[in-house]
Amino acid sequence: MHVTIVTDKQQKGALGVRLEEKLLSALHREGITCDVYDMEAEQLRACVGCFGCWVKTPGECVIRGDQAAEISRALVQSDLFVLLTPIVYGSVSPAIKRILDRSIGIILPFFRTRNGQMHHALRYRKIASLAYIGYGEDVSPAEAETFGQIAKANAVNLFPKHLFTEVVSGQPSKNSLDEITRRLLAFCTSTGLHKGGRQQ
Amino acid sequence: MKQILLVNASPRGEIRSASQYFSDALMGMLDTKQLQVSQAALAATKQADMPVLYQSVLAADAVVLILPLYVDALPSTVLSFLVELAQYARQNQLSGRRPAFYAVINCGFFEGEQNRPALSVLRNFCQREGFIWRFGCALGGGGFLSNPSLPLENPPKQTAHAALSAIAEDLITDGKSPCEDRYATPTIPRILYSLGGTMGWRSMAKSHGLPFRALYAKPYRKRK
Repeated sequence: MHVTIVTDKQQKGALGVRLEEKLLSALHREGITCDVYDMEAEQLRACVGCFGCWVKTPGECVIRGDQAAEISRALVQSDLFVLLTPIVYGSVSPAIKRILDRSIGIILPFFRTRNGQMHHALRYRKIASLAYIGYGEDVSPAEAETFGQIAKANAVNLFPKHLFTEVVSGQPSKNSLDEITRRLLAFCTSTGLHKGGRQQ
Repeated sequence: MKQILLVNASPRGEIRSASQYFSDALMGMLDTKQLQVSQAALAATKQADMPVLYQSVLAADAVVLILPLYVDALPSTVLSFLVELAQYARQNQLSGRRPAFYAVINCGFFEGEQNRPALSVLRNFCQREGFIWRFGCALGGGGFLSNPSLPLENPPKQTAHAALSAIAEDLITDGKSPCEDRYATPTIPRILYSLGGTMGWRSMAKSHGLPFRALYAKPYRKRK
């Protein structure tokens, strides 16, 4: 199993650092290979809505010279793609949103009906399963709810096989961080993403 | 006199942007002597001029933020704008009166309902940063609505016109309407809208010298 983790370098904060360390050591213990992209918003250009990734260079963003293409490729090819993001008004952070906006080439421009609503047709038969782990010192209940809604909507549009969401707020104890990584590993095992490794 | 600022926050700026079309439509509805209405475009504002934009947002009585839906939420640039606006207000200790916020969000999907999470982000922003949230218009079929060949008042687009009018009316009557979001979906069959989309993509591909089947390329397919 191969995992790609995207983190927000600028706005990580103490909680983000603790979460990342916990996550990485848990994955490492299980023998799961992992790439980490620790991104600043300034390292990525923002999507300008040109639709070039659909009609000019199909499947790839026309903006070159940063890591967006590499990360989009990982979003398709990894087994699990983890967004470890500060929650900003219920959304992922601006840096993480740049990655998502620059990745829409992984789906097709054409429309299909799913769950009774219009969504995009799929370019690939399979992309990575998604894990949205959002955190903040004082995430409000409304922001936590919005975060979950966005993750769910993204999962309907990008259509990963499985979705994991988690909101971490305040100053969680070591035990509760352990519990979160335990839940993520349980998700990997129960969905069949992770077959090998030591199991508890 | 009441000051209103319409901000086209589309990453595309003033050209080829549905948001600019809706901003102009609102401008037309607010043609009254009681209000002083001005327009701004986020993508057309240079980094050095951003403080001026923050100041005009904070000095307005009401702000209408007009934007497209990107990946079920706000475009990254709009999110950065809000974060920086709040930071600017804090740094300059502009803790007094804050403007009332309205939003117009349009998506390429047919159903206006799909803008719901993005409206929630804006509501959360207002709550956290001390702005007054009024309500938003969530428009489906943005590309269709903003095609000027059929004006917004006409039947298949009427729902969007009514939603925008609700903002205009609320601005004119000083916030007397109920504070609830308006959702608008075009009144044409969904299949027609979908087919129109496919034809549009086909002709855009052609303009780049690509045959239709090239749109299905899989550059990131795993090599076995």
